[in-house]
Amino acid sequence: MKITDEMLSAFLDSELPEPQMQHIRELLLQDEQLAERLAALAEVDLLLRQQASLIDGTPVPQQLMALLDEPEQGSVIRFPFWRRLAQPRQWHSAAAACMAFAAGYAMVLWQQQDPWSEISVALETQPAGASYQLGTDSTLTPHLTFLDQQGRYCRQYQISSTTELSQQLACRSAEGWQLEAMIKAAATESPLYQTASGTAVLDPVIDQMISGQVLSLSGEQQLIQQGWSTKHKGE
Amino acid sequence: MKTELKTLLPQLRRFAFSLTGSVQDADDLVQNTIERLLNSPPEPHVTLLHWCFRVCRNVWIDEYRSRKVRQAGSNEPELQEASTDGEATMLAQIQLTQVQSAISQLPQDQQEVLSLVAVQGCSYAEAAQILALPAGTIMSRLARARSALAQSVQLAKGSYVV
Repeated sequence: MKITDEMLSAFLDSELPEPQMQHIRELLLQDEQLAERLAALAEVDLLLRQQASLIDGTPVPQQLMALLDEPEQGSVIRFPFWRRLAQPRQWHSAAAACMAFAAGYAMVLWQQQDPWSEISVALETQPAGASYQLGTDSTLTPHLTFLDQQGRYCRQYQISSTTELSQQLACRSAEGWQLEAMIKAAATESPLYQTASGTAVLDPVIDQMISGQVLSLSGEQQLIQQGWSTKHKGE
Repeated sequence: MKTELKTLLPQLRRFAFSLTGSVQDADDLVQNTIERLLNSPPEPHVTLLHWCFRVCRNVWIDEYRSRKVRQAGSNEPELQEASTDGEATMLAQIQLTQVQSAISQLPQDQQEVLSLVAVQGCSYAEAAQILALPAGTIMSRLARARSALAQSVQLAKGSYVV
């Protein structure tokens, strides 16, 4: 079988079926010309990447950064001040109105009383991927759990209803679960809604907070069974 | 969205630079791409990075059709000044300039496949999704582009390694 440049090119990218990959590997051991041709094609990639990386050393134009620095509706909001509001009974309409003002969009999630206690129960008991009914028309689904740099367990989860979608992050301390960050949008075709529909939207926040790795499903299950006790961790 | 775009900015700039071959054109392209991204939400099931590439590529094609993109290397004094130490660096610089010149000779459809797969490390399936092409077309365009560039690099070597 003649080995064409197309096959070598796909070989470089590991895009051939494994039998063909193996066949070419064996040929390369015997055929010097083929090996040289592969090296020539691989060198192209190296030069391309070197060439493209030259721009990394140049400053990003201010005009471009300004475009990304402008505040936008629905950007991720972190809530250190939420700790004051985190006690379930302190979640009332005035607090919600303040939050809506800070966020710049309507805060219409769950009209029923005391939604945070329901959320806390869901976070306390539901493994990742399991949906929990909140009130009549909202659902909470945990996505992942991790330990933050303060030693708290934190969970990223989604709350969806027919009118709204929200990605949130809450951490558990002695006072219970507290909201740390969220992004939310009304259920429309707006860009904001599209952004909020991505479960990775809070990743930059998680990256800043996480200590170690995201917990495995079994690790998470164990924590739920132990009531989120931290005393079993390395003590 | 803007927070995410900031984290993707280096990759997007590289992608734009590999398409345009000019820092100024690349940053203009990224600026236009971001403006368009902020007004056009990602399609469901497409990662934001891939959506960025797709929009960037579309903006580039629009610009490519409307005006001749500036050519790289020789028009980039700020890049040339960065590497003047020693013969090896000079040869590498000549080689990079040759590569950029060779890239600019490639058809646009081969340039974009190279940028996605060889520079950004996309799989054929990912590139096919971004460009809305069959994976087989990605494979053949990529091979033609690599062959053409390999030939240019060999010719360039012959011209300065004597």
